[in-house]
Amino acid sequence: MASKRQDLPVPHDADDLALVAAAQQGDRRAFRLLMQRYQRKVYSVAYGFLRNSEDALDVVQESFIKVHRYLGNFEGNSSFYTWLYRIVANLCIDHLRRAKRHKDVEFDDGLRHDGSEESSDVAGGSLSQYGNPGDMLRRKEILRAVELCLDDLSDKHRSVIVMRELQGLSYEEMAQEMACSKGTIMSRLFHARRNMQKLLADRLGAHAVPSGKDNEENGGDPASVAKVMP
Amino acid sequence: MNRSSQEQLEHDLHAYFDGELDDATATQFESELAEHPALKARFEDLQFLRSVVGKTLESAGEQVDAARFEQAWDAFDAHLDREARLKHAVAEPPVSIWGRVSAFIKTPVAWGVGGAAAAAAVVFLVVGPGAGPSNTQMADASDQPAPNAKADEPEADAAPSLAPSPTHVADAESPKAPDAMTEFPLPEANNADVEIVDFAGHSGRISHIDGKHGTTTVIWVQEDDESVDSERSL
Amino acid sequence: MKTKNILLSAVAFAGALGTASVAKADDSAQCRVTQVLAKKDGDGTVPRNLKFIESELTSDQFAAYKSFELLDAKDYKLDLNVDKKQRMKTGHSLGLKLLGVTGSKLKVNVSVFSAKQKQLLSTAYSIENKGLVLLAGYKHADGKLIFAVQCQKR
Repeated sequence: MASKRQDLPVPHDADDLALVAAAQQGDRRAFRLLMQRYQRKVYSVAYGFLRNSEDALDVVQESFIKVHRYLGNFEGNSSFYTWLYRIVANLCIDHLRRAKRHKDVEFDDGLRHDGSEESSDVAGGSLSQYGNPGDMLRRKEILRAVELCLDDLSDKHRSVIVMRELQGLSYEEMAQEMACSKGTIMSRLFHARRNMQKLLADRLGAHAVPSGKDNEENGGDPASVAKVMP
Repeated sequence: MNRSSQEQLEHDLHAYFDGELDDATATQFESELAEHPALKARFEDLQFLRSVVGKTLESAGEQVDAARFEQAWDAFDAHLDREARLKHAVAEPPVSIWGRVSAFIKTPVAWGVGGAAAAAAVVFLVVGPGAGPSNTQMADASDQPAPNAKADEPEADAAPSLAPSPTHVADAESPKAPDAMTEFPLPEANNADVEIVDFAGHSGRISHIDGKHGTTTVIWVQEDDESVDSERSL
Repeated sequence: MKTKNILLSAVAFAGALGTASVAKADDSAQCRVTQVLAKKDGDGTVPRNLKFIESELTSDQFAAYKSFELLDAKDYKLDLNVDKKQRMKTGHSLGLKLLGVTGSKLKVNVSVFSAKQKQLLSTAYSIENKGLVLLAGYKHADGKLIFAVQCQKR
């Protein structure tokens, strides 16, 4: 990056590209403003991958360094946020490879890859029935259940879930990050979602105390479920 | 619907949900969705899953104390400062031969050699030739080229001319001292008797290193619950 | 005779002074905690600011680690049975307490806390004056942290 500073400080509410341009000229303040916009999202992504707060914070710090080092290469072909997310995904995958952790949930007996009927149905019907937007306690319970289910996934399955559901990366982008084919990503995502749904249904189903009102509203008909989360 | 086309439908469902189908296939799939309530239900399940996963992961970031990010920024700033100092040190122009001689003259070794030579010269002048071993010593001292004499100095740099002074690189390495750090003595005998150790639920071990400071005790903590025969790998 | 008495008194007085000062030193210690990051990649060089533990870092115990970086260092002034705790730049905290001094040995309690203030270790040991103990294995970045704890009588 060039070391010449701009004459006027870039405004606090400047858009990403303006901050990027200033940071590329050596404006450390602009760089900090830019990264501070995304630092919590970066943490969320990293925590999604790594399931450890300290490791996630390490990735946040590493992302500052890596983005600063390579900001000169950013040409604006994608949004800054997409470019940043790919760096973060890359850092997280490297972290996981180094840590060499693998959970065998994907090979659990109840979860099969051959498309049998057993695996095609989520236990207990539609997942959406467990949601109730008006009930904060229920919402908290659901989020907690999701946390635990994410912990139970294998690193590879969790990685594709985070990249797709939180970061919104395309199959092609995910394939590049995980150094595999697009077909592998599709298959991995399919099974990851299947596993996640089953785990979630098991957890929520085990603790569900359907009220009379819930039963009446849903009536066991998946098509009539309310949209869960606002 | 046979099994393989059912699986294909499921895969198409995911691809449609992720916006990965081309326009023609997506349009065709939409009519499938309209015709099959069970398929539509699975689509809604995917929506539910995305919604809850997204919210769960985002909430993790919201809960982090701002001070932790500040810590990361402090470390980042220190990293940049360190890089800048190292760059500056490497960018310094190479010192000329006269510069090297001048730098050597300022070192304690040079003063010691010079002092010994001067003392020997005085003795020679006062006492006369054949005064004893000092002649040989003087000859040895004067014959020793500067770099060899310098090698006797335990703290000598291998290539001091790369940096203006040896401490410059050390400054780049050392962290910012929060208070004035007083001189701390070098460790002597490190022999320790560990009376109590609590690894707070982690596994750990105590081991020893036999070295120049006696036996140094190392208390290892294993933060991850990794077993030696773990089947876990990415 | 008078001279002898004066001399004896002077010796006794000096002895008393000496005892008093020794007693004062027994009550306090000075410690330094040095935080080192050990990583598995690098060329194996121990930087100059870690030369004081070079023989330990280059021993078999740390053979897996090829680079060492001094991250932080904190000084502690310890009075008898008074807890002192300081936070390192990584967020880890180290608590130290002087439990006593017997002859040339100090007895110290050391606790290590994660950045979230979860206790990772608590240990009490006796060590020779100016002696050093290493606490190792704490995950950080892509390496492990080593805390070198060295104490001397004050």
